[in-house]
Amino acid sequence: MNKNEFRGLKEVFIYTFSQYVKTKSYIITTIIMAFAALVVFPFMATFGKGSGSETENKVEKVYVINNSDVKLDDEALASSLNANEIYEGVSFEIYEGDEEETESLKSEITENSASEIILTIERDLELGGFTVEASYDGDGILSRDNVSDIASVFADWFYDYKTGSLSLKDDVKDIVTGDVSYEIINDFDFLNEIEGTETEAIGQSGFWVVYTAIFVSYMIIAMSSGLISSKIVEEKANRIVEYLMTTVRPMALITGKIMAMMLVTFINCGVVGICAFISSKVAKNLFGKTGADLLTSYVDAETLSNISADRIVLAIIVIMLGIFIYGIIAGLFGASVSKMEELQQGMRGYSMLILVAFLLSYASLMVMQDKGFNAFVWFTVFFPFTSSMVMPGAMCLGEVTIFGVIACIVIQIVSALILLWFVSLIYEGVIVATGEPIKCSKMMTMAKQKLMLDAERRKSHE
Amino acid sequence: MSLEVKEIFKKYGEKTVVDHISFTMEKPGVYALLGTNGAGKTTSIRMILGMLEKTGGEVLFDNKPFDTKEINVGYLAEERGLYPKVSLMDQMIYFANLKGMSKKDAEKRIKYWSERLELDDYFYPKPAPGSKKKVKPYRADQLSKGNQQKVQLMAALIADPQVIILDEPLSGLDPVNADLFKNVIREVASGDKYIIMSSHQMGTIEEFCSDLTILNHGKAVLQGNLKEIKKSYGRVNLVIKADADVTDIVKAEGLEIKEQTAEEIYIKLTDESQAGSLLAKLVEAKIPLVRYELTEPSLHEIFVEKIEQSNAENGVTENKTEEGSVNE
Repeated sequence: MNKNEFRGLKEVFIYTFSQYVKTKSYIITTIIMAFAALVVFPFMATFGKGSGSETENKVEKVYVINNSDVKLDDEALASSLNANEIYEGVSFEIYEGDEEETESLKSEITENSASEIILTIERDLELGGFTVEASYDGDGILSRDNVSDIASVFADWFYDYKTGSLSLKDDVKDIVTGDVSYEIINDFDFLNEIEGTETEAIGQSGFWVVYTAIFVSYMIIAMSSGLISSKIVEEKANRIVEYLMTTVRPMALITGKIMAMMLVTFINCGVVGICAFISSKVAKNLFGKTGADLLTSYVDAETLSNISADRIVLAIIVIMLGIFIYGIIAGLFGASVSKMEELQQGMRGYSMLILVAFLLSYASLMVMQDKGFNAFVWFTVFFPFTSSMVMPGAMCLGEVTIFGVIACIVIQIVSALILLWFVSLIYEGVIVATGEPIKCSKMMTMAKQKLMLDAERRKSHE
Repeated sequence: MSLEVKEIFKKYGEKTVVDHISFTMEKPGVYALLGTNGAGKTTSIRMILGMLEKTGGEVLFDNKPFDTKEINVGYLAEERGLYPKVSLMDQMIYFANLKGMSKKDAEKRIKYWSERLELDDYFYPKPAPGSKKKVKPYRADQLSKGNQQKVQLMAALIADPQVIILDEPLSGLDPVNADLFKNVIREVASGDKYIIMSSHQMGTIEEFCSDLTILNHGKAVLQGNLKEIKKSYGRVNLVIKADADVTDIVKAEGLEIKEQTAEEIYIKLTDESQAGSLLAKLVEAKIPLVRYELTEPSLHEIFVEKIEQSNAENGVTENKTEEGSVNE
């Protein structure tokens, strides 16, 4: 593979890019994405969790039915929870009650006030520990989030209170209340350097961040690769490729298209990024909350702090390299057919590959949620067919250092070059072939024959 | 400067689809590449153009390897090859850019060729009289096949190429457009261009080409200058039109009647001298002759004879063909 193999690349790239961005579908999609990015934060500020309309506390009175074996002090409860400015005006009433009293209280609430709730605390004999059951008038002014928040705060208070009520010394208290966790240390120094943090299962926020990253990158890669293959088949089916190949090298025909798609993706990401930035500024000016402030209602602050501008840029680079890798494969499989109607059949190998990669990435996410970053997860972070889906999310969780990202990018580039080399062996033969779709086994045979022919030529030159 | 094709061959595994073809164009002109369907014409053309890797042989232009990226080459493929949903202007500019032309130069050439090929209404559509509404540029799928063929010819000639390869340039054209094409090809051929033309239309080949190669099953079965080939066959086609029946006299001379209509008899001679001998017999029999014409064989006849000969040697049977087409 040498520079001459890509003659005509610039013209193919410019033409493909200019024709694609002129299409109605692209213009409409970009406008929709830009609009969505522009309104997202003002929308969240008005209607979302962070809007204040739902998370603002509306609970005025809390009845606590105490069925635990711990004696509760309502003054201690009130003083502790009222110290939190969100719950400053909330009153608490504790009942060492029974079921009959609970039902009577419930009917009193529905008749009298929709801003009161009942928290029932009792021993969980099956699992051990305690459970807090929160009851409220679902048709009233209270939202599920209001009730959930105050129940969570009460549960935290009860946890500290119950151990405090045992009058344990501090060191004994630490032994009794301390969590038990475990970690596995291995001998792979490389992974230890790259990990950067201790392995632990990712939380709910982390799950959604990685899930979104996997899904978005999969969609971008699948759509871009699909477009590349259909453009190649269009040229082949309409016999334009025969004319083009008198001037342009076959590798220029495929890489020019891939690079055009990469640029389109980069521009779209840029447009969405700029619109999101403007949206954040608008939300700040109108509602006093930036995009980051609003996102903390959905994503914990620590995870959010990892989503910086430089990491987003690196994530985009990783995704674009994913487009390159899958674009080469899609282009090769696309060129193996001669008619548009055969495209689906010809793309089976590619479809299988990207689907397996997606499933591996999703499995990696499940493992992250359950066990954290183990060997399997690290494999998917660096394996070139899954890295473009998993690495962006892993970066956002702060699990990968900058060196790890660079290593991933290098692996992707090397993989892309190997794929390019393989494709360059056979693309010329594949792109001009007509008739039945060319199968993978035939492509391997073609590659072998080309290598043997090149070896013979080198020998005869010597 | 010469264009030399030297012993090019192509194998797919054990199967040889083009078997050591060689020919030379010593000077600019038109060279014909003929053959039945599947004879290897398109494969040979693709190897010459570098679209298909040769198993062996070489193509030289001015004693240097023929590289379409270095030498300005125009190619008109047999099949229609245009982007169906892209405007004609956009794709013509793209094709010109690929040839190294600037947008400005491309637009000038497009203007010239669109007028020459009577395509300016498609490249420069005008609004209806009285309407100020801008007309959208035409796309390829909005044109008839014949006009698409003309656009493709424009693409082949846009960069004023030195070497032009035309694969079935007149196929699918109506008589008016066929004449337009012929005039353009004639015009282009009169310059210092090296043109390789492949066609099934023998009449067209005879009009333009001085030299030719006939392929059959990947092998060259006949090659050389058309005039000399015909001369070597001699004048062996005899046409007789008479006011009496001459069939008996012809058969008595042991001659083969190729075809007989109500008015004329077409006879295939093995030697020119047989024409004189037959004429003497007809005059002796006082047959009133209207027409007695001795001609060279047509390219079609030579082609069919050579293909049949080649097939017989290789033990292959093929269907007989009609005048003006081969295995259509």
